Amino acid sequence: MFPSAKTILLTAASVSLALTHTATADDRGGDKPRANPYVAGDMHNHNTCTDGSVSAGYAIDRSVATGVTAGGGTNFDLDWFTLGNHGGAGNRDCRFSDNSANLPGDPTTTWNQTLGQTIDGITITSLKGTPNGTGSSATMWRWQSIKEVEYPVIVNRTPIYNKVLVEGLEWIVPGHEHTDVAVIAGQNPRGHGNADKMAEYEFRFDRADTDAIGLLDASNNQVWPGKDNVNNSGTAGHQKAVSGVQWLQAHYPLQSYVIPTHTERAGVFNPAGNNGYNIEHFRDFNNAGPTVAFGIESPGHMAQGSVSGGSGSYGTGAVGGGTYGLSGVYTAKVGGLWDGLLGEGRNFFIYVSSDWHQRGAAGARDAFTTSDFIPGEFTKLYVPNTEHFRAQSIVDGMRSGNSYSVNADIIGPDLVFRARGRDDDWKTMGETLVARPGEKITVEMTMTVPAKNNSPYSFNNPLLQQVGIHQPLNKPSLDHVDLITGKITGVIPPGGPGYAVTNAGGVAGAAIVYNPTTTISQQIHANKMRSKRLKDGSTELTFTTTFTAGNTPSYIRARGTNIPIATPNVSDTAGNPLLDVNNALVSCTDPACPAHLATVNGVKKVTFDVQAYSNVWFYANPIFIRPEGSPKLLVEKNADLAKRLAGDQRADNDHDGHDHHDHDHHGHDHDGHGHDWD
Amino acid sequence: MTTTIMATIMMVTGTIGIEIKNGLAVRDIPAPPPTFTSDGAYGCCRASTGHRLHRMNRLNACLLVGLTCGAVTPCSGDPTSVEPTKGGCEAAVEQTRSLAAALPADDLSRYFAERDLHQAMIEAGNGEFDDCLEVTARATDEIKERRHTLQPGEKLKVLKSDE
Repeated sequence: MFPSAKTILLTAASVSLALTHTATADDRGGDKPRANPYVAGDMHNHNTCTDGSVSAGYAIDRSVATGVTAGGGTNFDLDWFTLGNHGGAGNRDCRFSDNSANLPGDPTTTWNQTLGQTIDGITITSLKGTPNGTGSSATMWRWQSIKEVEYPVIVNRTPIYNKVLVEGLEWIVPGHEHTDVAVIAGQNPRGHGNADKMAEYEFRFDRADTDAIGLLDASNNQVWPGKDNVNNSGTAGHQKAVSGVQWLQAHYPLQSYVIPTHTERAGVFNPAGNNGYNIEHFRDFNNAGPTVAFGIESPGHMAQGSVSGGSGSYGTGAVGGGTYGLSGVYTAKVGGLWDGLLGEGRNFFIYVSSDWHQRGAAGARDAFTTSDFIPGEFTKLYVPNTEHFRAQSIVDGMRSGNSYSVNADIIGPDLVFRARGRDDDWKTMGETLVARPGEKITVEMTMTVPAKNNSPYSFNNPLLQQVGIHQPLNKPSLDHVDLITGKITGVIPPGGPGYAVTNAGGVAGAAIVYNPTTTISQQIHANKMRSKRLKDGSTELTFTTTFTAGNTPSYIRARGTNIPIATPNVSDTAGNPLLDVNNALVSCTDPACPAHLATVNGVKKVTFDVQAYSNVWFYANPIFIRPEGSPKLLVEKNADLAKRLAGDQRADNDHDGHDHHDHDHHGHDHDGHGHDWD
Repeated sequence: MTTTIMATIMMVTGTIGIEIKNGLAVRDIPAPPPTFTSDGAYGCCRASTGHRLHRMNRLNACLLVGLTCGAVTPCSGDPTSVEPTKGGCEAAVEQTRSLAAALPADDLSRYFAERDLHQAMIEAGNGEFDDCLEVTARATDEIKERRHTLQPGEKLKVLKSDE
């Protein structure tokens, strides 16, 4: 471990901002088309295979297509899409939507109505595994719908859209709430491939999947034997969850990810039930899967906030008592749980997705929502664009930490967030800059604020109206960027002091400090950035600033928002987001305020999608800084591990000459038989 | 054609007023915004004014129908609580559905509540009984608090499946 409190890691000594504000029409000629350095996606969303409102195909169509879908409804043109549905079972045929989506000719249909029929080129002849329900309640286990419905839909859609589509899972975790998982091994929609490994993981480790049989071979032998169907809750459940992470690390260390989601929602960990996560559980996951368990996801359900809270589907019992700037307190709090993990130097990054299920009071084609946004409509997870972008690129990009999370298109796909020392060796998000103590660290950020977002509302942001700012909801704006720094004091061993931290549900959970060295070191207002208006009406903003490297490892992360500091009911005097339920204390008085907003005494309040478009943030993953000569950080060691594994994998694949998607790092042929897992 | 829900005059005086839940006044005087430096005064199970125990309502939904569905709420502090069940979920939904049915057919809060109850049953169909109870609790709140009202002449437009 590094000695704590030895030095001040970074001092915000010399803020050498470029102070010119140069937005003029003359600047417009300078920009030219270029490939976006990052691509936008979504890894957490639902359809009627589980508790979503639209069919699996329709969910993909709206998320990645362009223009307007047949029957109405804007498509959102994502570059990549991971279908991340719950584990367990479902009784609805997910080639059809639910009645509540109000889609023409697409009524609720249950599996008992369609067995044996070929629909959308897919024929389901039987519900496999342990029988579960009868009649319209007869369910298909999710391992089957992953393998036989969702993946074939992905195969069908991939050539239509020429986008990267992945079959994933929202793992219902033993002992906990939920976690995004994808196992891309075997998936190759362009050449068909299969999602057998994803299905196997769901069968083995999802606590809602209590099927005792699973896939059978031609001789009626279990293909996936040895399932633990007992330890599905509490402490024993957590150990099963850790086993799941270990299984992924052992078999698919570069072809899978495990990202706990809406991690505060279910409160604190319950040793006798299935509730939330404490920091030690994330540490356990990262220890068990250093190249697969590398982060957490902020909550989706961004349009659920009513007058009593509920944004993110967080109630007052969630750790933190609700969301803060539509993020959970683990990520929104400076010095909070995320900073606790970064303070160990862990490779632990932040992601965001829609958690799309349904639009509440609206149907799928309506412009408004009182619940969720369609993937790409409001939330975008950016990962690096690469030549021949494919599923592996998504996993690699997420694992690297070179990614950022954006709501309401407050910034676009071309963020530059990087740091360098005395030489010109720039390091970006997820990377580590090695510097001499006392060395000047230059930090540069460039971002584009798009001309518009997908808001259907053009009236002024009611939260900003309070402070005299008149900003239409459909036009993104950036008020400032926070550069947040913290010390890294070394990895805490399991069972060591501070490894497990007492957690608390409700607002009390927001008081817990996990890394007291974390602070907003610099706050750069947009009007202090270089500004360049681009042809499409968007605005490029750039700033450069400096820090001084200390004797202790550290990190710099960034967030930006449209909310000025000390905005009543929205942010505190330091610029931190307040509990979002307070937004609803603000009235929406514009004549165009929509009819679906919640009211108090007949007065509309800033709720639902209007709240989401009013209170907008982005989060960028950290850049790490380590003193020259000091031991490598865990984030570096785990990145090195991934490189070694990739080298091994390449060597294996070169040796056997097969498509690497169908092989793990051991070079084993994954045909669904004979796993060495026990 | 467009689904149109016309303005409904609130029939029960004081529906959107001071109400007592969990022994605490809600929506009377707004509480000061909690911040990260909160000392925990708004801690779960001892919420202060202006802060409803949203997730506690799942437990309330259980109590409402007299079931021991035992939703493990973060506030329960009862590590021996059992998981919510399909039966508990369905009973809670039915109870709330009857409350909704008591409202006029064109009442906007009834519409919102019934949409939530539909989703609750979807959650149940997926085995997500905790989510089922959560959504049911939201529907119950919608009915009790009449969170949605329309101004005279105002409409909520929702595309129907035949449009």
